[in-house]
Amino acid sequence: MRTFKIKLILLVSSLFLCSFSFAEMKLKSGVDDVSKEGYFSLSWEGEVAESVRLEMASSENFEAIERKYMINRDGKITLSGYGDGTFYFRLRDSKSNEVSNFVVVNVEHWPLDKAVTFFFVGLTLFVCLISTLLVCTRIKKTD
Amino acid sequence: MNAVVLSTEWAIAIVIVFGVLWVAFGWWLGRNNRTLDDFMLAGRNVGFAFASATAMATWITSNTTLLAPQLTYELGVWGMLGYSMAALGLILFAPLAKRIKALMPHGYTCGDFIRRRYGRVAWYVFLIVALAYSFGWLVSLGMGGGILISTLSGLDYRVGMSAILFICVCYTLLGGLKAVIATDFVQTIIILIGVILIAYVGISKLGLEEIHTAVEAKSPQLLNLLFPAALMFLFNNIFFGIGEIFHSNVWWSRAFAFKDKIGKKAFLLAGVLWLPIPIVTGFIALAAPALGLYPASSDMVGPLIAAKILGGVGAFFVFIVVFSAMASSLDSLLAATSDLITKDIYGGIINKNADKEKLLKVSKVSIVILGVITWALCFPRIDTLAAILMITGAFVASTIWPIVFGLYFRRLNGTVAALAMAGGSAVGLTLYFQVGYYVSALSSCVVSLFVCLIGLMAYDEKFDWKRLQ
Repeated sequence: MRTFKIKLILLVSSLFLCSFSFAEMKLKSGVDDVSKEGYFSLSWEGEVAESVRLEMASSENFEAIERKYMINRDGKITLSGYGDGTFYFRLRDSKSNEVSNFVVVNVEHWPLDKAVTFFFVGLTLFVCLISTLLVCTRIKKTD
Repeated sequence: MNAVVLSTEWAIAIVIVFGVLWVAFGWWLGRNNRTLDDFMLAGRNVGFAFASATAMATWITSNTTLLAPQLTYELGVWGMLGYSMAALGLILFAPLAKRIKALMPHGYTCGDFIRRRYGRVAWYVFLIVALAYSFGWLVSLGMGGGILISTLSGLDYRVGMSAILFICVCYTLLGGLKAVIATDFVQTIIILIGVILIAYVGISKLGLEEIHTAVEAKSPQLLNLLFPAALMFLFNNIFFGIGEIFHSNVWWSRAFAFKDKIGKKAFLLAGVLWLPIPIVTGFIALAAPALGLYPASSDMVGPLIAAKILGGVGAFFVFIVVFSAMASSLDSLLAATSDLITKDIYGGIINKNADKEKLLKVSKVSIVILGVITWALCFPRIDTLAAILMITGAFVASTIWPIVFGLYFRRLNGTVAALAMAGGSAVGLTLYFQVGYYVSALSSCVVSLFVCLIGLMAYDEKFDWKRLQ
């Protein structure tokens, strides 16, 4: 009886998923990958209706939808400008039916001290280059 | 949601009309080319107006029109400002152009300089660097053509990419550098009018406040002045731009081709005029959150938003502007890389006794071969424009110091210059994969400087400048 129930649930859920053309969504650079720059690409396979929206939430159960995005017909979207944190994405149609799995994106920016170090190394190098060019052109002028 | 605003028929019509115009113009300009100097260096007689226009138009590329919005979309305000700082490459090359013309009045390529100044080992390393960069840039330009046409008209990426490559190969082949410089002049006028028009319509249609509010709410990191990756990117891009110009035969061939005392003024003016262009083209990417438009790939964001803001007529202008920008760079790069292959690889390694007539033929054949190789590399569209172009930053930034020291100091010897370029490139490439594209050029340049400084302290070459004549 228990096996029959499980089979029935699987059958019903597969019919349910087929009727909403369930799309498999993934993070372009690999599921659960870490973005160090706050931008990332999500892609999905299979046809999805124009009314479908990409939803973002901070929790796995999508209790509060924080952002909604219109999607394009390319089956892919690139988002940017995210701060540190863990974000969950899924596709949903206009009747609030889920039409994809959810994907987890972790954003963890480079430490600020590392970035500032690179910035000042760059600045120092730039000052060196400008000084060298100024000195060189002045010397050659005098020559 | 998709940007497609031009019908496929319109897109094909624009490509055909512009293609026929550029090719016919190239044939007309090149009909009197007789010598290698005519074909490769436009008779060494380019005046101030053409010189400034070609320097500016060549530097406005698909990278300015497609990559600046991409970097703004990914790295925010610093991405936009950082990209515009690539103008420093042109500005700082101004005194170098004067020095190059004075040291080598009869020179042909930057490879000539490296071989005579540093010897064969450094020259081999330099050729690898120069060719790696040339192909990276050529591929990004070919891809840019395909992305533009597919985003605005829905025409297959491969069709647009093939069309722009075919057109540029044809008119560069027919007209040589003379055709490249003259078409650049026309293309500069088109680009300037188009960019001003797009900026005016864009700002009047979408208020600054609306854009700011939407970015702050949906992509806050883009406005953060302490955005770590963007902070790293700023000086990296400056050195990438400087490296691109200092080492590339695209700019050296112009320094040789311009009339005496023209180069310095032309490069300065071109740099100053170029500076605001990426700010205008990059800024429109910040309108993405306000419009609710998010691209499939971040290198499509520029045309996507411009088409949305400006509609069908605007898309027509965007198409022509970006198409002109790409053509103006692609032709220059084809001509300059073919010069490098002809003079340095064929004339310097394969057939040292080749006369000028033979070299002229080789130059034309190499333009066709370069076009075919670029087409094959563009075909699979392996990555975004930024990823493809920025990898070359590791190579080009390593050449900055060997070129500056080589032009002004007698002390630096060839072995040190070769080590500086090889070491800088190796470290830059390693950090490209370990950290990201936004540190590769900077790290490469730092390593190259250290190697050069050690070399300057350890050796005293006393190079004779007359060997460059």
